[in-house]
Amino acid sequence: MLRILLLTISLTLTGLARAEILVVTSPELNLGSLSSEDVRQIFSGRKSSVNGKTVEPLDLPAESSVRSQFYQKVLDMNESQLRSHWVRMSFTGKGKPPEMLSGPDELQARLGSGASNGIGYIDSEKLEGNLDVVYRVD
Amino acid sequence: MRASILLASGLLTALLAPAALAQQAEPGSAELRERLEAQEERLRELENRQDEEQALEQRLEEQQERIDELESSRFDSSGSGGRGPDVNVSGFINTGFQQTNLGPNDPVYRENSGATDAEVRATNFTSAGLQVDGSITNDLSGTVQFLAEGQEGLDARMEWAYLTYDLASSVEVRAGRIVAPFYMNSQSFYVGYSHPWVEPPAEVYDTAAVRTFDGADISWQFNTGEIAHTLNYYAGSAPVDTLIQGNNVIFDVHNLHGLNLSSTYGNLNTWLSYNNGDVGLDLPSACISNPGPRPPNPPPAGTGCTTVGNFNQYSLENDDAYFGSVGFEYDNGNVLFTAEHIELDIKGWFPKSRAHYATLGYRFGAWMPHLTWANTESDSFNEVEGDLGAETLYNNLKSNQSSWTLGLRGDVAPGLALKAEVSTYYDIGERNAGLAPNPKDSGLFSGAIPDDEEEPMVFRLAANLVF
Repeated sequence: MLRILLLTISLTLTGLARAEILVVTSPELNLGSLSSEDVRQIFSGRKSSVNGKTVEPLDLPAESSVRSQFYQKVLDMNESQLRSHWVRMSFTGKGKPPEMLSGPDELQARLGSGASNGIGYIDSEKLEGNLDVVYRVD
Repeated sequence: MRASILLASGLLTALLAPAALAQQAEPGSAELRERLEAQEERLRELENRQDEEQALEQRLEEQQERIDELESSRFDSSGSGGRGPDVNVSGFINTGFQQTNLGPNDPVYRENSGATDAEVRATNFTSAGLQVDGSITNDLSGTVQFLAEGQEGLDARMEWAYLTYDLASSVEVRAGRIVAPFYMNSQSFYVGYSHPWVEPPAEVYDTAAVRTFDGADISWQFNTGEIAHTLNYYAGSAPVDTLIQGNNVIFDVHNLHGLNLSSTYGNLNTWLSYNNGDVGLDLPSACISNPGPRPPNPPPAGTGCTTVGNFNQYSLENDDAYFGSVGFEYDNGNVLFTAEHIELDIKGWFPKSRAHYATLGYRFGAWMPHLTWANTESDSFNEVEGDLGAETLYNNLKSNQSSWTLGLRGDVAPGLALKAEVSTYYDIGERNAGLAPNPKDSGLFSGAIPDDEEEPMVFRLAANLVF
């Protein structure tokens, strides 16, 4: 009994450890891998092209926990800091926040539908189909 | 033995069974034919139904494909692929109060930009802005921002109006009325929500009150290694209102141009800005009174003045002006450190100014206490000394003070920040100044010169909202 319990716990922990946030693009974009700084600058609106390709960041809804984890890890920002950042960017004409999608399904539909220059992030467990993983968030 | 009997009986049953069946069928062959026909009809019906089902399935698949196509084209049209009409409206509202610890007959803090004395005034920090961004084509967009300020009776004016054209993926050109990029926070000056203070430190941000210019700019985003840069060059002209000897005068800044570079790496942002222009200033015709107990200069002939001369002699015409700023910001989500240094130099009698601030803040959840030190100095009296008219003008516009500000920002709801601040001022008035011809100035106060022993303080409360 104890062995089964331990096995279950270890499998659950492995499952948790494997659930990571992936930064994904359309395979047709052929972007290559990105550095953490690239990802930070793309999603903070300070960089619109990387590795010679124009990219357009795509966001998950504000209530998404993957979104809050992503921005906390990549930009060191919580939701109100992020909002403050985008207020500053948009009221200064420097950039607009990423387009907000309805969820991971729309992200995959968008990136999977051919020639998209979109770049998004997704929980590894939600990833289905063939998208390019260009960065893994630790 | 028993087994063989069972086997034999089984074989017999098997051999006799067809005969028994034949015997049963024989009496109703017509009935059998009927049943056969009925079966065949059912089969045909089933076949038809199957065909229909297949056709239905095929139609369903076709419909699904069309839905997929429509969905993907809808996603494309909302992205950068094929943008249709796309209008975005956003806005901000600031409201605030300011009060000093000084009495009604004592100095007034920042009279030019919304006076405040011991009486609470709500209009100082009250402003509202509405910004409309619209895409015209994939590469062309327009932006208009309306701004209403409390100190102007909340009359809305068009603060910005420009067109942006994307020349390439990392190069854009704008033309129209654009924010003058003099300071690190120039562009977000009015958007209280975007910075920690009730308003950016006045010692620095009051030095050159150029907020917008009419002209064009070009911005280029590029990288050096991992560092992302935006290099911006602009050119245009701008009118700037200011007060000299209680008279509202307008500096006309033309041939205004500048280069600025903002760079980002990790949590660090830096800012460098160099701006140059020709300044014109028509001073009113008014005789200058002798500022000190000294023999006056012989007044030039034709000024109509008997002692020192006429202010209009000192009007500026295409005088070279320079404004530079260096800024630094570090924000790791918990710690915020930001600092900026600026310099203003206009050829002639105008005081050369240097100003700087540094702010350190730390976030405890939604609350961020922060501390700011700021200082402004103008100490180029030696350049005007002996010219009584220039001395008078210099003394009118010079400004020296230092301050400490302790503030608290609370992000109490999405898009809403509440702020409270208290500032204390010291070292007011130019060092080494005192009696005429170079009396102490009153910093950003007006009226009597606050004494350091008075410990002038200003308290501020504000709410900043964005939508």
